[in-house]
Amino acid sequence: MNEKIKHIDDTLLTRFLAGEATFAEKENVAEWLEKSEENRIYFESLATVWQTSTADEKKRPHTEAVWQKIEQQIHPSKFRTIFPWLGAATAVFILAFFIFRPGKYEVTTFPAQQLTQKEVLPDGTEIILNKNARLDYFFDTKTNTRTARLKGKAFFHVKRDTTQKFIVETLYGRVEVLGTQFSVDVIRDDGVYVDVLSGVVKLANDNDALVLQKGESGLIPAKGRKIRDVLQKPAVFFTINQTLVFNNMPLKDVFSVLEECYAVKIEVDGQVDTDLLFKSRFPGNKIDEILNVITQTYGLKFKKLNDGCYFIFEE
Amino acid sequence: MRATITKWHTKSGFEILFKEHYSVLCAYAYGFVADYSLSEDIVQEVFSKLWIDKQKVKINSSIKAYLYKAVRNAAFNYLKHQKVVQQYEAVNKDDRNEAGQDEVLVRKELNSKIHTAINKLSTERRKIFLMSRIDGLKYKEIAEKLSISIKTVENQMGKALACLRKDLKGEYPPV
Repeated sequence: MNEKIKHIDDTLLTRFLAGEATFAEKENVAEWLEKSEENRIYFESLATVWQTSTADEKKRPHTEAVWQKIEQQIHPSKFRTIFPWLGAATAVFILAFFIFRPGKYEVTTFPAQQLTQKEVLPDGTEIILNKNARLDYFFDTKTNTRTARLKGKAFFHVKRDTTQKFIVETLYGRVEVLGTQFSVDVIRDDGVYVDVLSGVVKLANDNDALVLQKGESGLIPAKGRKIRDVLQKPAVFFTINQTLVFNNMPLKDVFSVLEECYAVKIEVDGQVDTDLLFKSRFPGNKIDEILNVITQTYGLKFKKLNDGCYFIFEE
Repeated sequence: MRATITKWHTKSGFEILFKEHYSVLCAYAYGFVADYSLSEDIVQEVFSKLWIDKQKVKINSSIKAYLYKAVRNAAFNYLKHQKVVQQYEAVNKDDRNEAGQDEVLVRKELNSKIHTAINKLSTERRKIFLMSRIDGLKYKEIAEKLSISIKTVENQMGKALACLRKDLKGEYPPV
């Protein structure tokens, strides 16, 4: 926040948002907002959280619906009846304009490299490119679409913008999003694997489409047309958020996932039934905490042997 | 977003401008008039006027700064003409459409995130914040119910929102 204007603080801004500021305070807030873009951005971040923090739909503006209304107002139909030919002329002109205008997108290229790299696209989208992955990004002004062409594997945290779709194009199909976090893995002759961490994405090729939500995964196969959903792997976002999600996974597989993620060794006593299915979510927990939960769930015990080695046994 | 700055007087540019700022400007207008449907009307009128006068409008700084100023002026005008305000309230029986599907989906997700964030607030702060946002109580009413001073309510509300903002940084579309 702007340091020079000390009398505008979070308390006042919140009271303003609550509609409880005095007349003089309202004027102060307005002046402060008109002073700088920085102030406006700060206010907007508070206001957005404020608006989202109520469940009452009546208290939240519905931008899309209102736009439909406004759109009708600003597009009066009498214009067309008075000058029917003008519309046609304009249409032809515009069409010609788009057809003959040379493509002049600015393409930003992230070439394949030997190391995993974190980048920010021009629209603010954050990506993590795995090694040997390559990405070209451009903004298509005709369709108002942000387009990323991907080879290899990448994680996306898309900057949300409902007016400009974000599309990941791959060899075998595309992934359309609004603003969300997901990873895309293009594997030659196999297909495109998509894992969604948050938000909603749509997978599509020329024949089929599939919508994926948070926690779901899908595959656009290289051969065959049908796009299908696949079970999301427990550790698919571990490197990004240190979170593991087990969805009815046999204990033996749970343990091997843990071994891989935490670089430990887990030995299990022969009496323990490792086919039991386990379901839980661990956001950023330590290995001891996770083992504690698992063993307590099944009435087991664990002890830590030396050098990152754990032993699990029946009580 | 460059389109909003340079091309807002084209229809597609205007749509972007509208969608980017409508919601926040409504929150802004609410700060003045403390009425939800009225604040939406104010902002809609500002946009309609801007479109109609787009050839004449002189913009000194940015279009966004202009919108803020226009909303403030319109809101103050409404405050001065309370009669008009009352008429509006009587007429406004809200027949809005459903929000767009995408919007709903994303909102749902944001909601769960904000709930997690709200749950992280200290007990007292959370209680006060929820009384305001969920129960719709005024600061004064909260203060009376909890037998604390209005000043405390104000402080806790300000801190709560600042905490949530910090916690959710990067989660929200326009932040």
